[in-house]
Amino acid sequence: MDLKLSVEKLPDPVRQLIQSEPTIKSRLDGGEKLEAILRNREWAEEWLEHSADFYQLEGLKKIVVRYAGLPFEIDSLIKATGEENVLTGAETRVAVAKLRRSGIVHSVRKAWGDQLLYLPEDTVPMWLPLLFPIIHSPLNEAAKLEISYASKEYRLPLSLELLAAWQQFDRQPMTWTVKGRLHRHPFVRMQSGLRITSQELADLTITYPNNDQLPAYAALALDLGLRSKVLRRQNNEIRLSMSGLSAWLALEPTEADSRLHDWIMTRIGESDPAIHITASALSAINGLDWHEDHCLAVTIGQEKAIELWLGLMESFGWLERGSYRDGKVFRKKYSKRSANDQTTPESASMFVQPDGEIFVPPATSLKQRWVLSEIAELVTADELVVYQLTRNACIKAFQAGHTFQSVISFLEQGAAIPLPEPVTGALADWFSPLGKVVFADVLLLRAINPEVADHLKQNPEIAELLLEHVGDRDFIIDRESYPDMLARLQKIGYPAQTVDQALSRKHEIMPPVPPDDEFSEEEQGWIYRRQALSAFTADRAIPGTEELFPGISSVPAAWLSKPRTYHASTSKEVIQRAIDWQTSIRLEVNGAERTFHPKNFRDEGEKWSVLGQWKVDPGNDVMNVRPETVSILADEISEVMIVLPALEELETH
Amino acid sequence: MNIPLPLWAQSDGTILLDERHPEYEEARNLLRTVAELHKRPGAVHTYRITPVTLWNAAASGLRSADIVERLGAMSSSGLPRALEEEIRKQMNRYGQIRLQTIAGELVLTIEQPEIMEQILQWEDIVSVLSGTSSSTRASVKPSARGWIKRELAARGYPVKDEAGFHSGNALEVSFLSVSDSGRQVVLRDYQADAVDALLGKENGSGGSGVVVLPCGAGKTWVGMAALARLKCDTLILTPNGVSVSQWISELLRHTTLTEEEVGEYTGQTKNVRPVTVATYQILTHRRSKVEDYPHLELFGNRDWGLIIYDEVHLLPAPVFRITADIQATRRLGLTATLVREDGRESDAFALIGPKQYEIPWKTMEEGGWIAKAACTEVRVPLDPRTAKSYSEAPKRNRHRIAGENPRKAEVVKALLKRHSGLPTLVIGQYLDQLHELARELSLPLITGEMPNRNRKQLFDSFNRGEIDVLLVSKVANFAVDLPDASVAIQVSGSYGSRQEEAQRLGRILRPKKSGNEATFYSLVSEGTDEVEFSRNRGRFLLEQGYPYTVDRWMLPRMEDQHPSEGR
Repeated sequence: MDLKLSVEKLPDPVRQLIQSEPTIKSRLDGGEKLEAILRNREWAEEWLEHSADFYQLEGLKKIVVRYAGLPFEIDSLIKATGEENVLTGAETRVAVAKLRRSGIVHSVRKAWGDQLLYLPEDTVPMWLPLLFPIIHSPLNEAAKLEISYASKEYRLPLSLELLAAWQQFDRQPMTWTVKGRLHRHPFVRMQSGLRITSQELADLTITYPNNDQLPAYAALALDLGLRSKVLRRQNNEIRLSMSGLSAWLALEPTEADSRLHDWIMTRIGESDPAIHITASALSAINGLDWHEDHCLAVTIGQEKAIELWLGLMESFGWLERGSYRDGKVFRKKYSKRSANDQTTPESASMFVQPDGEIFVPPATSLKQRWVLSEIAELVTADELVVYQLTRNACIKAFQAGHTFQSVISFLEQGAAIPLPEPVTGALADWFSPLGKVVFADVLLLRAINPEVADHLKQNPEIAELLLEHVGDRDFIIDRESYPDMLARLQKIGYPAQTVDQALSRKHEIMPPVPPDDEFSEEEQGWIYRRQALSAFTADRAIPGTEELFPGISSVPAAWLSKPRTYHASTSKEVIQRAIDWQTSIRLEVNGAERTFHPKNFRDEGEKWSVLGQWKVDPGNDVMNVRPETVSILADEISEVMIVLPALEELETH
Repeated sequence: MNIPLPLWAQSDGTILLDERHPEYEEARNLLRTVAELHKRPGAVHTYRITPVTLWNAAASGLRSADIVERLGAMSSSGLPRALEEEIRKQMNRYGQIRLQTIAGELVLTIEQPEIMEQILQWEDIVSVLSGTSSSTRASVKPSARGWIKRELAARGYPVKDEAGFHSGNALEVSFLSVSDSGRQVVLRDYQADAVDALLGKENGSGGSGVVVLPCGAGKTWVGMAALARLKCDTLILTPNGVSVSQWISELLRHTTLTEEEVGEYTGQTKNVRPVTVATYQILTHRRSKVEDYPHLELFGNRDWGLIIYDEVHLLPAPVFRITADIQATRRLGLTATLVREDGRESDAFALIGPKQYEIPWKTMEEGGWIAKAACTEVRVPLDPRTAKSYSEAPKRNRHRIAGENPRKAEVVKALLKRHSGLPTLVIGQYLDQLHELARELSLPLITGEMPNRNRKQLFDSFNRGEIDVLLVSKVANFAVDLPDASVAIQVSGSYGSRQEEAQRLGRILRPKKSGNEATFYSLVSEGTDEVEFSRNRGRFLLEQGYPYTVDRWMLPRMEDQHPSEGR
C-alpha cells in the first residue's frame, strides 16, 4: 500500500500519536500536511538525526532490505533480526512500535485479527539511500571510451511506447466473452503498437487474467493503462476514458515516465524486495553519467535483481547498458525533470516538411503526439519520431473527427510557422471528398408495390408526413411522426406492421463487473497484486508496554531495575520471563557483568543451565557477527535482572 | 522545431540536417563523407549512414573515432549508441581484409585471426581459396578476385583490393586544345578533381571507383579525362544507343581520337576498336534464357586498360557478374546517385570500387555549373466527354485516357507561348498523343522509331538554336545531351520510376546560354489517378530539393459556358 492510502486509512488515535512525534509536530505546526511530511526527505533526515534510536535504525534497515514494500509479520522480522543477533525480539517489537509511532511503518489487521506490518511501498526509495548511502562514482572520460555496447533495438521511453498501444483502444475497446475469453482482434492490435517483447519480461513473476491469451508485455500495457486511468474497465470491456486520457496527456513526458516508473517499481517490486531495493537505489542516482552495475548493490545476493531491473529499464527505454572491462555499466537516458526537457510555449514542437513528413522532437507533448497519431502515419519511432501525412491518414483523421481546417491549424500551431504550400495543397485534395457521403439511419415506410405507394402519396394526410420518395415504393419519414403515421395508416385502411423490436440494439447480458471507480486505487490494473493491503483494516492502536510485555505490571519492579542475587529458582523465573519477552538479561558471572540473550533452558536433574548468546553493546563493530550459543550454569550466575528497551516514548494514550 | 545543433542522429543511421543552422555547411561537408543524401524536400535534409557509406568513408582515409566525435558534437541529442557502435564496427572493418599480390600470388591478408576463422566457416568462400598459409593469410584463386570481394561485402566484410591493375594496350590519346566548334577544351576544376581522386594526382597509379556528380554536371568529361590520363584501350558502357552516339561524338570532338580508333558496339553496329562504346542492353542480350550472354565476350576481346560504366546505378546483374572477372582492369563508375532501385549498393562498392569523388548539388548550382530548376504541376480538367469515358473505362485504361487528355494541347500551346524563344522539350509517354501534338503545333518529334542519325540531326539543330522546341518520347530519358533546353513540359508519363523523373529533369539542368534557370512543367488531368501519381512524383522532386508548386489551368470562358458544366 502506498503512503497516501496508508495515511488516509489511519485511525484517529494512531494519527494523533503520529502527529505528536516532535519532528512531525513542528512541521504540522508550520502548515505541512502529514502525508507530505512523511514523504519528505528532509523530514526523514531530521528524524534520523533527532528521533531515531539505534534499535529503530537497525529495525528499519532490516525492514527495507528484507521486505522493502512487502507486508510482514512481526515474528518474521524478529527472526530476521535475531538471526544476526542484531536485536532481541523485545528490541524489535519496541522498535517497530516506535516506527509506527513516527508514521514510518504502518499496520493492518486481517479479518481474523492477524497483524501485518509494512513500509509504504513508495517510501522505500526515500529511505534506502538514507539508510544505505549509494556509493557511486561515474566513469571518467577515458573509461567511457572503453565501453562497448551490445546491439539492441532502439526504444522510446515507455510513456511514448504505451501511447501507441493505448491508441488502439480509441478505435476499438477490448472486450471479452461471457466465458471471460478476450476477443482477439483488439488485443492483437494493441500488441502491434508495442516493441517490448515477452522475452524481455520473461524473468518477471507476474500473474494476470487471460495469461494464455495475453503476453506479459500486453498485460503490463493494460495494467498501466488502467492504473493511469487512461483506460477504464466496465462490464465486459476496457475502453479509453476520455477524462483519464485528457489528464494523462496533460502531463509532461518526463512526468509521465516518472509515474510509470514508480508504478512499475511497486508492481514488480512487490514480487521481490531485492528488485524494489535495486529500483530504489537506481532512483537515487541522478544525472546521465555511466555507472558500474555493482554500485546498486546494497545487500548481498542482489546481483540477479540488478540484472533483471536494469534489463527492464533498458527495455522501457529509460537507460542504456554496455560492458566495461569485466563488468557491466549503465547510464540513464533521461534525468529527472531536466530543464532542457521542457518546451517553452513559443517554441515549435514539430517541423513539417514540404513532402508531408513531420519531425517530432523528444520534448513534444503527449497531447500533440496523440493527435499526430490520429492524423498522420507513423514512419519511425526513434530519437525523433517521424510521421507522414498521407491520403489514408486523412481518412483516418476524418473518422476521428478532424477536419481540413483543424488539421491545418494543429500543424501550424505545432510548427509555429505556416505550412508549406505542397502540404496544404495535398491536405486540401485529400480532405475534399471526405464527408461528402454519409450513412444515415432513417425510418423507411415501404409499400408492398408501386401502386400502394402511389395511393399513399395521393392521400394528403399521409403525404404531409412523407419526407422523401426513394425508388418506387419507399418513403423516408420523420421518426417523430412515426406514431402519427401509424394511426393515419390505420385510419385509411392500411394498418402497418410496427417497427420490429429487433431493430433496437440487443445488449448482451454480462456478468456484473464493477466499474473501475469501485475498485480502490491500489486494485486498479490488470496484473494480480501479491497482497492488496487496502482490503484489510488499519490497525487501530499502537501496542503499549503491557501488550508488548504481557504481565509486566505484575512483575516485581526489582527484576527490571537492578541486577540482584536471587535463589536459583527465582533466577530461573526471572530468566524464563526474559525468554518469554524475547529480551536480554544482565548477568554477573564470575565477577563480571554482561548482557546475555537467553533462548531456553537445559535441565539436568535439579541443575539447570541457560542457553543463549552474549550481547555486544550497540554500535560495536562485531555486533553483526553471528555469535556462538553458550551455556551458563545456574551456579555461575550471581546476579540477574531483565533488560527492556527504553519504553518512555512509547505512550499510547 | 528549434534545434541547438545542425544534426539529429537516429539510431537506425538516419541523420537529419537543418539547412537553416549556421553550421549547416560544416555539417553537410561531414555528412558527405560518411552518409548518402536520401532527400532534401525542405529545410531538413535526410541522410542515411549505411555499411557502404561507412566503408567509403574509411576508404577515403577517415577514422571512426573522428567521425563519432564530430557527429556527436553536431547532433542535438548526441549520437545514439547503436549508431556509434555501427560506425565503429563498419569503419574499423574496412582494411581488415586486403587482397594483395605477393610473389605472384593473389593473397587474402587478414589482420585479425577471428575474422579468418569466420571466413573459413563459409564453405563457398573456402572453395575459392587455394590454401591457407597462416591464421591471417590465404591464397585466392585469381579468377575469384571479384567474386570473393562481392561475397564478403555482402556478408558485411569489405575487402580492400591492393592487388594492382594491369595497364592494358597503350593508346595515344589526349584532349584537343580547341574543339571542332572552336571552343577551348578545358576541364572544370571539379572534373579534374574527380579524375585526381580516382587515379591519384601524380602518376595515375590509382585504382577504381565511382564518381558521383549531379545530372548536368558533365560526367562524360570525367570519363574522357580518365581515358586521356591513362592512355589505354577503353571500353565504355552506357544505358542506350543514343548515349553511345553522344559519347562517340564527344570523344571525336574533344580528343585526338579518330573515327578509326572509336568503335560502336550496339544492336546495329558491332565494331571493336581501341575505344569502344557499347550499351548494357547489347551486353545482356541473348536469344533464350538458357543461353549464355554471347556479347559479354566483348570484355575479353581486347586488352582493356579501363572500363567506364556510365549511369553505374543502372548496371544490370549479368554485367556485375562479368565485372567480377575483370578486377585487374581499372574501372570508373559515373552516376548521379549511388542509390540503386534494386538495393545492390554493396555489389557496386565491391566490384566497381568505393566512391572516389562527390560534389554537392547545391555547390554545383551556386557555382553556376548546373541550372536552378523550378517544377510546376499544372492541373488540367478533363472535358466532359473524356471525363465520362474515363469514369466508364476499366482501371487499366484510365491512366492512358488521363494522360492523353485533349485539353493538355491548349496548355502546351499556352506554355510554349509563355516561354517563346527558349529551348523547350515537350516529353510524352504516348506516341499517338505526341504525333497529334506534332501535327497540331507543327513541331518536330523524336521517337524510338526514328533512326539514330536523324535523331542526332535534330538534336544538333536544337543545340545550334535552329529549332527551339522538340517533342520527344521516352527515348529521351537517358543520356541524351541537350545542353540548351531551358524548359521541359511533360504531357504524360509512366510515373513509375524515380529514375525517369531524375533523367527527365536532368535534360534541362545543363548551364544555359541565356540565364541559368530552368522550368519543368508536368501536365496532370484533374480528378484522375494522375493526380496521385503526380503527387508521388512531386514528392520525389521535392525530396531532390527542387521547388514544386501546383497550378490549376483555368478554362477559357467559352468552356465555362459548356452546357454540361452547369449552364
